[in-house]
Amino acid sequence: MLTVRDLSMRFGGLQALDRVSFTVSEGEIVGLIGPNGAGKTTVFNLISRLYEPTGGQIVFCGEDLLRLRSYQIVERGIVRTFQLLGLFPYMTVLENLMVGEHRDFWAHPLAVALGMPSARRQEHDRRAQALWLLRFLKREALADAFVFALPYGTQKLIELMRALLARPRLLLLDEPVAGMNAAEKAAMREFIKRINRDWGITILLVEHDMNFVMGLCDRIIVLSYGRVIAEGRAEEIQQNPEVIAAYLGEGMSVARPVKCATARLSRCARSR
Amino acid sequence: MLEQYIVLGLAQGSLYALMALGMVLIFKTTDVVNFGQADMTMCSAYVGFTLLVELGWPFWAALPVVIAFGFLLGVAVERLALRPAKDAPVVSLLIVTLGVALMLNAIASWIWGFDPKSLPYAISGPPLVLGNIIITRHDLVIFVTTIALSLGFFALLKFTKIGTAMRAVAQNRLGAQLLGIPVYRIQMLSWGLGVALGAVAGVLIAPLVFLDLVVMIFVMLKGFAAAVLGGFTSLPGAIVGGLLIGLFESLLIAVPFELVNRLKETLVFLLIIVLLAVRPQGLLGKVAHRRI
Amino acid sequence: MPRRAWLALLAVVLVVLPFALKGYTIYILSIAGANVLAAVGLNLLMGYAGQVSIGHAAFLAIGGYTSALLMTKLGLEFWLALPLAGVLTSLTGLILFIPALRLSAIYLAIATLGFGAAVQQLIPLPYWSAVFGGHQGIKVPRLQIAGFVFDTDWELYYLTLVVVLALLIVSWNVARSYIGRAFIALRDKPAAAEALGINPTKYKAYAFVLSAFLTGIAGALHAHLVVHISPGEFGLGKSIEIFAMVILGGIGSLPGSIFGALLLTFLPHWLAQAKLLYTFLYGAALVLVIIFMPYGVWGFFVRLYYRFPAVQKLFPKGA
Repeated sequence: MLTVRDLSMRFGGLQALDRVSFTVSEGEIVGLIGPNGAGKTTVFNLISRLYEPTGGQIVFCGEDLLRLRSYQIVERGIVRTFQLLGLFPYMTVLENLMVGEHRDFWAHPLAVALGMPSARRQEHDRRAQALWLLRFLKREALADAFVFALPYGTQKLIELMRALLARPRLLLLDEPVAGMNAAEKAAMREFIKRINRDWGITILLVEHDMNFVMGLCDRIIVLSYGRVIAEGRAEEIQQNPEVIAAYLGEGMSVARPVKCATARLSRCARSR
Repeated sequence: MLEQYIVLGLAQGSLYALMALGMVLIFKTTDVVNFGQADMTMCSAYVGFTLLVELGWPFWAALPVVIAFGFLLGVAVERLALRPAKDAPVVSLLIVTLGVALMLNAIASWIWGFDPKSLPYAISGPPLVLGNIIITRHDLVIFVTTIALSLGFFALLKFTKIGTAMRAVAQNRLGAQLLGIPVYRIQMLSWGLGVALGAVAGVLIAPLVFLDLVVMIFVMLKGFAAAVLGGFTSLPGAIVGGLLIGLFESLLIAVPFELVNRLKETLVFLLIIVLLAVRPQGLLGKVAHRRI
Repeated sequence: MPRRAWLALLAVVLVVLPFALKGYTIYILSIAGANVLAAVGLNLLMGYAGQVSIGHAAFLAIGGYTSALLMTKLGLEFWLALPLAGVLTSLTGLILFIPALRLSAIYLAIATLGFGAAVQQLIPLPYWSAVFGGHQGIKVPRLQIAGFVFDTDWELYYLTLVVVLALLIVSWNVARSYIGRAFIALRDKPAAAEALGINPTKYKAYAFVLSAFLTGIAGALHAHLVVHISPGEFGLGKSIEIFAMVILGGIGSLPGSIFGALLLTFLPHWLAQAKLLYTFLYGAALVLVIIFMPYGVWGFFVRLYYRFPAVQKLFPKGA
C-alpha cells in the first residue's frame, strides 16, 4: 500500500534520514520504533508533505506522493496525528472533531454565507456524525469542553477520533499512548486493534512503549540515527543484537540491564 | 551632489535607527510593539524645548536631562500601564500603548499648546566642508551620538551582567524567571532604555522639522519600518534598516520627478514590502523554526 | 429564557429604539452600525484567520469612493452600487492576500500599514482629482431606492439596520461553518490544519475577500450617511480605531465587535464636551479596559457567565 524507497532528509548539517526504505501492506499494523532522534516523526512529516525530502520516493497505492501538496494528502486517505498534539486549543472537542471532517464539507462558500439549506444540512449531518463517534466511545459529555482544559491522555484520544473522522485508509499515529496510564494504554490498544480489524484501516505507528508496540504490531521497523537497522516481527526484533545495542548501548542484552538495575538499587537501599 | 544626499540620508537614517533600536529593544524583551513611541518621543522633545528654549540651557546640559526624562517615562509606562495588563493577549497590549500615547498627547497639548515649536541645533556654528559635501555640526552630533549609543548598547548587551540578563529575558522569559532573573525589573529597564533612545532621536530631529504634536508619528512609522526591514528581532538590523530607509528617502528626494517626491512614504513602504517578499524575515532577522 | 427569545427581544428593541432617542443620537447609531460592519470585517480577518491588519481604513475608503462614483458617474441605483462596491473592495482585498501568504505577524502588520498609507496617499493625487476630488473629496449622493430618498435620521437608521443585520447574519453563518473553523485551525496549528485537508492559500484568500467585502460595504454605508468623502478620513488613526474596536470588544468574538464598535463610536460623543480632557480620557479608557478586561468586553462577560451559576440559568446554552 505504502512504499518508501531510499527516503533521505537533510536539515543543514544533520542527516535526519539516510536512505530509509520500507513498505506497509494493506491491513497491517506496523510499528516504527527507535531511540529519540532516530527520525521517526521526520518520516511522518515527509509522508504528510510538511517537508520536502532531499532524496527518495514515497508511493501510496501507485501514486507518487511527492507530487502532492500537504493539504492534498488527506484526500488520498492518509491521516496522521501529531507527537506534540495537533488539536486546536481554543476550540471545543466537537469543533475539533468537525475539522477532522473537513474533506467532507463540499458546500460552496456562498451557500454557507447565505445560510442555504444544503449548507446547513451538511453542517448538521457532520455534527451528528462527530457526536456519534463521541457517543460510540462514551465521551459525549466532552463535546462542548474546550480542548486546552482536558488532560493530556484525553487529548490524545480526541486527536485519534478526529483522525478517524477524516476517513483514513492509512492512519499514521505519532505516539498515540504517550502520557496515558496502563489502563488507558490497554484500552487504546484494543481500540486500535478494533479499527484495524473491523474498519479495515491500515496503521503505521510510532511509539516508545515497547510492551505496547510488541503486543500490537504485526511488523516492526527499527530506526536509528536515520537508518533502518532492523525489520520483522516482534520476537525477531527483540532478539536482534543491533536493536539492543541501539537502545541500550554496546555489549548488553535485554534481560541483563533490568537485573543489574534492581541489584544496584537494592545495594543502595541496604547501604542507606 | 549625490554624496551630499547620501550624507543627509545617513544623518536622517541614524535618527530612524535610534527610534528603531528603541522599539526593537522593547519588543524583544516584552513582546510588545510600542505604538506610543512617537508620543513618548514627542514629550521628551518638548521637555528638551523647555530646557533649551524657555530656560536657555546649553545643549550638553539639556541632553542628559532629556534622556533621563525619557528613561523615567518608559519605566513609568511599563510599571503603570503595561504591568497591570500583562495577562492580556499581545494585540491588546498594542492598544494599551496607544491609549498611553493619547494620554501623553493630551498632556503635552495642555502643557505646551498646539503651536509648533522650533528647537535650536545641538551645536551652532559654521558647517564642515569636505570636498563636495557639507556636513552641519548638528549632523555631526547626530552621527557621533548614534555611533556612541549603538556601540554602548552592544557593549552593554554583550559584556555586562544586566545585558546578558536582558538577552535572556528576550529569548525565553520563563526560563529566565526560573533562573532567578528579575524579569519585571528587566522589562522596566528595557522600556526605560527604549524610550530614552527615542528621546535622543526626538531632540536631535526636532531642530530639523518643527516640533508639534504629530510630527513624531512619521518618524516612528519610519522607525517601525526600519525595524521590520532589519528583521524585528535583530538590534543591529534595526540600525541597518534605519540607515537604509534614511538613504532611500534621501535619494528619492534627489529624483527630479515630482510624483516620486509626493509618494515618498508609499515608496518607502513598497521597498520594504518588496524586500520582505524576497526575504520574509527581514534583512538580519532569524527565521523561527517550530518543531512539528 | 431560550436563546431565540433573547434574539427576538433584541430585534424588537432595535426596531423600537428610535422612538426613545433624539434625532442626532439615531444618526450616530447609524454611523455606529457602519462601524460594526467594519469591526466585524476586521475581526474575521484578525480573530478568526489570525492575520493582523492595521491598514483597514483603506478598504473603507475604497468602498466609499466606489459606491459614490458608481452612483454619480455610472448612475447606478443604490441597491446595486452598494453590493458592487463591496465586491470591488473584496477584489482589492486580494492585493493584501499576496503578501499575507509569505509574511508572518509583525511583517504582515507593516505591509498592511503600508497598504493603508499608500491608498490614502494615492487618492488625492492631482492626476485624477477630476474623479476623486483631490484633498477636498467629493459629495456622496443621498441614498434612494426607486425614487424614495432616505434623508431623515429615522429612514437612514432603518436602512442601516437592515444592511447591518443582513451582513451580520452572513458573518455569523461563515464563522460557525466549516470555513470559520478552517480559519481558526489555520491560525492556531497550520501544520495540523493542512494535514486535515485545509488549503492555506484558499482559506487565506477567503478571509481577505470576506473581510474586505464587509469593510467595503461599511465604508460605502458611512459615505452615504455622511454625504461626503475625502481622503483625510482614512488615515492611520481610522485604521487604529477599527483595530481598537475589535480588541476592546474581544478578538475572535462577533458580539464583542458589535459592542466595541458601539462603544468607540459613542465614546467620542460623550466625551466631546471636555475638549482636551477628551483625548486624555479616551486614552485612559483604552488602557483601563485592557487592564480590567484583558480579553475584551465580551470575554469579560463570558467569564462572568462561567463564574456565576445564577447568570447561567438566565442564559441557558443551546436552547
